[in-house]
Amino acid sequence: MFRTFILAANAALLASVTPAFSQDTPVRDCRADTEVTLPMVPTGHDAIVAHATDDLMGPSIIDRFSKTETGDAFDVATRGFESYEAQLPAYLACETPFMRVTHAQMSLLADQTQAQNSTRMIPVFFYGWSNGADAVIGRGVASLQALSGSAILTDSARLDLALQLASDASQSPEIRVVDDPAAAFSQPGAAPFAIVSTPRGEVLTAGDVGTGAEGSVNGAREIITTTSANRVNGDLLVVRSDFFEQSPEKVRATVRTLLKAEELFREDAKKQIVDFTRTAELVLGDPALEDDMRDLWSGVETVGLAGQIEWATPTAARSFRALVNAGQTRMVEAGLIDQAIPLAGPELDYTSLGDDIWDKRRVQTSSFDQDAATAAIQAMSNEEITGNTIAEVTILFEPNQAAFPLAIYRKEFEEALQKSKVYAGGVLSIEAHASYLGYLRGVLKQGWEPPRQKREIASLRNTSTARALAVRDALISTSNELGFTIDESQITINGRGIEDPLGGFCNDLPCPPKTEQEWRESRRVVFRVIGMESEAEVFTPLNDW
Amino acid sequence: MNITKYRHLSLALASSLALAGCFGEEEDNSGSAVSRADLPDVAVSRLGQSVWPPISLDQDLPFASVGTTPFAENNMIVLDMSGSMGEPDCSGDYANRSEAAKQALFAWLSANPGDNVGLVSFSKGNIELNSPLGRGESHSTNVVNSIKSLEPKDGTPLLSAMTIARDELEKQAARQGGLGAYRMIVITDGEASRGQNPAPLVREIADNPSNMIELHTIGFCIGGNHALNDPGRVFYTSATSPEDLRAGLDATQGEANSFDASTISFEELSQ
Repeated sequence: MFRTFILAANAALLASVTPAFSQDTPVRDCRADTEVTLPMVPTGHDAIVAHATDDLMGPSIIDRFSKTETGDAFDVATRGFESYEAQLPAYLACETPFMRVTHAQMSLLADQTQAQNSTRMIPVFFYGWSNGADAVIGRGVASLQALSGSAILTDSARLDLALQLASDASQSPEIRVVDDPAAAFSQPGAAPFAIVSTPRGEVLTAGDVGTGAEGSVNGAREIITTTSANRVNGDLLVVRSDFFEQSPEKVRATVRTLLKAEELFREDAKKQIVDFTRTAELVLGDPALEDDMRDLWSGVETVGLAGQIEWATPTAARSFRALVNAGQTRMVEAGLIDQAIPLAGPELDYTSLGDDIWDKRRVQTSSFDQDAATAAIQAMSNEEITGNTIAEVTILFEPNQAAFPLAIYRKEFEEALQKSKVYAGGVLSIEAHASYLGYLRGVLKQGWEPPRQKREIASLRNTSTARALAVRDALISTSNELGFTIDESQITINGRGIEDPLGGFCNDLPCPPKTEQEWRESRRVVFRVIGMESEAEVFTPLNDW
Repeated sequence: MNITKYRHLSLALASSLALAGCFGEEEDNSGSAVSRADLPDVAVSRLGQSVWPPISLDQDLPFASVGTTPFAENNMIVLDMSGSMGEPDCSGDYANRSEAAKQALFAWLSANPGDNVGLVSFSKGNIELNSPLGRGESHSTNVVNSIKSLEPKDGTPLLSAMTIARDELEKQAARQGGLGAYRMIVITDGEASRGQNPAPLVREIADNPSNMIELHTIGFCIGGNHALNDPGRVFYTSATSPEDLRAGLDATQGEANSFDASTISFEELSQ
């Protein structure tokens, strides 16, 4: 009942990312009898579609579930593309009424697809997130701090991550969208950062720090991956407006099939009966790439029915609407689009489409071993903490303050919660600092002996930790008020006392604040998202259901 | 920057001279501290470079993040009930040092029901962890009864007893994530047995800026050159004025409530 085409995309159609999306291609209307063809691109998520066509042991998942609500069966074909960009001509010509895109790609494609009503994109299915499949590589730099005011290379498929990192940098970097970021990164004088697939990143960095040999780039190293930034790069399926209007029942049935296919893939993967050789043939065009296919699958995370509903709910933290709106704002700032573009949101009732789903919940378990994460952060030096920081939000307070009312700190709490959602694979460290002016007066003016000094250091650490705990409680209250679900295992408490003074050290003592402003800023709580990718013991296994 | 890192020289010399005549110390027992000129301020810059308590100390103990009382105050008493504690001198109005020590402890214990308290003692040749850290009426009663039962006799294994107390405090610190307060309160006349000089342990604890154990001595005329009467490392309280103990345990300052423009420069702060 299904047919599969593996088409080597025309090289001309793969010319470039933004340029490829902007080339002139013929537009044809879809008809009611247009065949349902699901596109596949070389990502881990498409293993689900490929597996759904497997009929070796009996009727395939697609055969079993591609029926309308009135029971009419219909054919579903699949078609492989070598890249996201290669789909556009087929989409515009209605060879495939569906297209696989990312959130940022939808905005980039808009001038082609929204030019006529028939090809307007309607998002209908969210495959899930990149969770380790993509990596940020840096050359001659050790942390994301260096991205501020610098430049980063990306292709359109990973643009969402570049936009997010740019918004979290203290000074926005230049974003260069290119066809092949890895190749561009290898050129002399290229931008110091690039976003590439993790396997390509391993080549560029030679698994550690690139030497210039065997395809690596001298001085290149992995900075972070989407293991930390695991709510940024998302894969979705859009359908043409004219097809959706003519065949809504087929679109609904296709989405229902995909929901079931995701659930059954998970079950079959657990039972180790997924044929990755065949999947590699369909998705990557070569059955010998079985191991690559497995790696691609392990680098993505699906979201289940509950995640589908959350994605379609505009007010949710990482909804389609939130991602597109934030992405477009950043794209305008980066000069990638001239102005915000109206895009339709998901319109289907996913709850009703999930009737066949065995487990409608998405079981949330703790993602982190909180104690191990706390210990790992406490063992870091100030420089290591700074180097591993992906994003941060700072709040200030009054001397000896212990309460943090939402009315005053709501904006900062919301910002911190947003970052905890974006970087759900990073630890959210609530790092509290105490003022050291009183300590300095005691040591240098009142002649405190060392035992008295240590007692004060301990007292100030206790004060700062109590403050961090109060902030944590307030943050959780805020998340409840906003309707956010927050993984409390993601939060660690780090009372730093006076060990990381703003002005650094003067002969082993905190340098005294030079201005009243610096004194005020020394009393601070920093919400810090810390990448812990090298600390395997910090993570608990991904959710199973 | 003109920072006076070694500010204790004159004060320490004066202190030594004042106390030197009170109690004669054998060279081996003196636990002599290093000269004051070697005692810098606590290196705050080193706080982030080491982890205390050692993480590997007790891996199966829960961290403070899951503990119920992460800010608990912990007092580990090391009680010297060696033979010399039966002497009457330096005991004020009490019959001997042993009685003075017991009364000081009873007064202090009755006033501090909220803190965790533990007891290590040595008497009659035995070193014993009489009570691990704990709190509550029953626990306090046990501690008091243990103290009452001790009699001054035999040697002074100060180093061994203090090591047990240190270990107890570090286990508790692991449970509390290093938060709260950790005090080792040594009640002694300082006359250590051969090989039991506590100076190395005092230095190990006091000279590590990350180690948050406070060392307190309730002493019986311990000389100023003794490791347990070293103001650069230890809080010293005379056993004849036990009421000073509580005040000595409590004092902290907190954060400065104002920014005084007259103290904004490091040079001025250093004068």
